[in-house]
Amino acid sequence: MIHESQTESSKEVHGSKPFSKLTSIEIPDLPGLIFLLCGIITILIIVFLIGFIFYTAFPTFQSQGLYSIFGTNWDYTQHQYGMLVFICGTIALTVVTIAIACPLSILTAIFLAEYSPPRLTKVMRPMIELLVGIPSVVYGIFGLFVLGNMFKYNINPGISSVLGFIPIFRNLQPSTGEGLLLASIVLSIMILPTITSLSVEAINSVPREYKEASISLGATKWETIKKAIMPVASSGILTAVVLGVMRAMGETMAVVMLFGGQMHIPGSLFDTGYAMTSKILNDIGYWVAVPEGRSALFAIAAVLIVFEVITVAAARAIGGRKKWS
Amino acid sequence: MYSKKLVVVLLTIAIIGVCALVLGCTSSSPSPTATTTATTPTSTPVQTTASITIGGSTTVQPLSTILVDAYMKNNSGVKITVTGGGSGAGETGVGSGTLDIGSASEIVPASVMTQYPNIITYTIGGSGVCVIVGTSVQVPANGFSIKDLAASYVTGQPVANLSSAGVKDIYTRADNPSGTADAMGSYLFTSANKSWIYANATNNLKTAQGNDGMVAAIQSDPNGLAFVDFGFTQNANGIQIPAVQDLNGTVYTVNAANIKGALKDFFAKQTSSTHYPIKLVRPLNYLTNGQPSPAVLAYINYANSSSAEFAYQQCGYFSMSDINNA
Repeated sequence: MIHESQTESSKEVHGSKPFSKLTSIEIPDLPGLIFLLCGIITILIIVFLIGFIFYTAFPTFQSQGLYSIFGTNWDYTQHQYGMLVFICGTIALTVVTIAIACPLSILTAIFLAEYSPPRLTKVMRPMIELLVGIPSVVYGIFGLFVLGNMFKYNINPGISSVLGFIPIFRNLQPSTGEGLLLASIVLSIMILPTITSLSVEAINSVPREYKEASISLGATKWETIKKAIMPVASSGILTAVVLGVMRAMGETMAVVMLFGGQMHIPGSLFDTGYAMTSKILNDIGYWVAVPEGRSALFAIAAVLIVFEVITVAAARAIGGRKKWS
Repeated sequence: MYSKKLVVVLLTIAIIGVCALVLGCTSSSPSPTATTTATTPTSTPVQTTASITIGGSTTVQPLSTILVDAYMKNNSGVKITVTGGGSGAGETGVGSGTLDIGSASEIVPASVMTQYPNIITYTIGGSGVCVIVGTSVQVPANGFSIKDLAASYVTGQPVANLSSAGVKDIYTRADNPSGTADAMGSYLFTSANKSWIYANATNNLKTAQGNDGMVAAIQSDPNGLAFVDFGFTQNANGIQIPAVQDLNGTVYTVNAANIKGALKDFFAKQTSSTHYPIKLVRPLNYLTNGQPSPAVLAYINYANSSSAEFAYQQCGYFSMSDINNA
């Protein structure tokens, strides 16, 4: 039986019937049903994907307990699966990537939204967005064969000769250019278009009245941007950064080629490490068919998902309290 | 302006699509380079259409690539794709049905045979594993001892004899398990402890992907030490191949004749060899899950035929007939 709700009339569009309160059930029109179906399918896919990962990983968590998170030994023959080295590698990579990408992306976005002439914006934006289409393996090859030697012979020794007294700048791997800094720089280039594009949209979506009011009160352009525009756009920018973080955490191909694949926690920017995604990629070929090994690798995937959920939650919590000062 | 943009985007996609279609429809596979001693590659055409996937050992991969290229030239209806992933991936891939032919540079472990009892092994040849070092390493006349190599791999740091020769970095395989790494691990640490050859949190070893990755690592790291299949050293610049000294002091020089001699002893079920450490030689195997289809069997038979000899020579490996004639 179909009822018409009077209270929902303000949301009605001509020809459609909105969902109503629990007291009365309304059957949506055909477009509404299609949208509902798509939403349900999407949710089912997510639930199935995450459920399968955690279901497969559960035996490892059950047998290893907290050792799976805080242990350092990963050995199939000894049945030990401690992923602390991989967790620290991924976190280090993500932090350094965001430290490089965020200022570059956000300042580029401010330039494109507020300073750039329209003609220049029309040229620059597609070029930046072109970076999204480049496959990650191409980034890896670029990093390996083009940047690798530059880092090995010039950048790493150069920086460490000047700043090497600071532990984070010690050149712990002089025989290679691969390491945390190289991988992070390439990852920064990969996530730059994501953060920049979304940040530009966030800045452009700030009502003109805010800007005009600020200028009319005598503020300079930079003061207007800093105190009127950025606080309003900050939630959109934060969303962009979160998407960038999630991409950096989940990136596999470029990382496995550039991070060095050495099983220790990086001791400096020029040290190698081992990311969670790299471990899955290197071992899945054989161990996918062995129940215990498969469960262990899925455990890494499960922990990665948890990190991404925590990142999103933290970003939302910070975004809710954030005040631009 | 919106419609103009849409037209440009659609036009770009159309051009890229047409280019991809044109390129995809043309075939331009490089013909194998036959050596002066090898016969021209031929194979009896098999009147069938089939699609075959071969995957697994990165040692067997270059051999498969050359064999497949030659085979498909004479059997146009057969399409074969070759991938790597390591011997372990080949064993489990063929067992689980994702590969038609799994390749492995080792005897299939008992644990895999227990899981996939229907795996059939076709040995097509053999090869050997050797140590390589960079050009800045001063290789001693008697090479490096198994004791020094084992100690260095356990800690990830070169022991005194190696570091005094100029070795600074020790490399192992990133893909786990690898037939090449298993062979070296069995030699250095015994079969039960061969997993010590792989990187872990205590040994701090550097890693590289596949045999080619190991060679590339040493080529870019003149003070590095790694292990690879002998075939990958044949045309590689910027590396040195030191001799290996056994526990009893026997020095084994790495060359084709010695590896072939050891392979002959290996296939004769000997437990040791005077030519080369028998644990460092291994079979090159094609694996199928149960009886193969006629198309798969035809390809495997070709790989074992005299027509395929050129491919083994090109890769630096040894066919079964070559080994038997040693």
